[in-house]
Amino acid sequence: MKLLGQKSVSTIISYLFLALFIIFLLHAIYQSIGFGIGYYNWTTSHHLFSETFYVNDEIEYASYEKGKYLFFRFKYPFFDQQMMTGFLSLNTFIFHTFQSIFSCLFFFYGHKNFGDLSNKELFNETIIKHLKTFSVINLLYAPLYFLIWIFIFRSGTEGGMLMTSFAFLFLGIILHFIKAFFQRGFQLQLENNLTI
Amino acid sequence: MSTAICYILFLLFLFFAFHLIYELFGYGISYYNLKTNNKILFDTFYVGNTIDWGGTVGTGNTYFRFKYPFLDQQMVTGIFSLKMFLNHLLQGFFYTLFFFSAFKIFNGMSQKILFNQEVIKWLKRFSILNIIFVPLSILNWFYNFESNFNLDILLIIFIHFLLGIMVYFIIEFFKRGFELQNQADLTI
Repeated sequence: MKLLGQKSVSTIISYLFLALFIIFLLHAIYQSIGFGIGYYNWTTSHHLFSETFYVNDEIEYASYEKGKYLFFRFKYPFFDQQMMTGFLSLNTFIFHTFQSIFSCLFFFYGHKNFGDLSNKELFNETIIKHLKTFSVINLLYAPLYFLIWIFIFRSGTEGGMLMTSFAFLFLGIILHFIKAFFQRGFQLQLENNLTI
Repeated sequence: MSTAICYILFLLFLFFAFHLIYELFGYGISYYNLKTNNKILFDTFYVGNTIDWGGTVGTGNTYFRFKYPFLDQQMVTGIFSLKMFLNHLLQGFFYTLFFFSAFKIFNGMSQKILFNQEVIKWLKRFSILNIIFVPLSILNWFYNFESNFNLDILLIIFIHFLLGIMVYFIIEFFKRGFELQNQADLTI
């Protein structure tokens, strides 16, 4: 099977990224609704969907002193399966929002880029534009992640976190180079089209 | 930009190549010392049944400690065994070749004509190198350490695998670019 062009490996990867994008987007939206409803219930003593979006100052798995922390546990709709849980605070909300926005953007632009690779003409302006955005998103991840980690959580760094940030930074740099290759290729393509 | 990265990669290659050669040399000498009870360069390439690791003394195994030449600075230390040697050999060889091929790629990209066959050749080698590293390091982990996976190692392996795949795509871009370049040269 060919790597580039119509009905190629790129097309499959593009659809795979689209599927992942949809999954992450649904999670992000659902999670935001959960945080919204949970916060509303807690501040107004309402019990809207409190089975699915549980918010209270005690939770089964942790034996913290009652009233000291606020916990949340969101379940998938219509299921008893837990989606996420943790301390309910502004910090957690910001962190989760950042992660989901990043994942959505990452998969969306991954989908776009591989979709562009499936085009008949490889070097075109659209892919250069998309590559640029994709590269910037990846380059921004590491500094933003560190800022959030250091300023909001005020805790030290971990090995795994460093590795992930490094991986995205590295990916961003490679994408930046690929963008440069495509610009050169696009120029050549234009020159060729002119001479023919 | 490519030229600057090219120099950095070359320096990294020299750094790793020096370590690899020096380590091999150290292993050779200490193995010889151990087998024949000689004490050639014993201060630099220590090998023995006890070792002092910052206060704690290790016993019960054969240990080694290699220092940098002419300095008292420790370079590498651990248990002196074939498994450890194979592990160091794999890492040393891989990173030396890794930086060498990366240097060659960036060197090729600093040329006036970006899409050339030299770059394609080295990109291919670089891609294969990264993909081969995946099974090799998994084997290394299972056979030489016989311990459970840890997340960091999995991540490193995964990054190299992804890099190999991405470079494989880049090869295709360069091939396409090379074709265009050829067409352009023919029409001129």
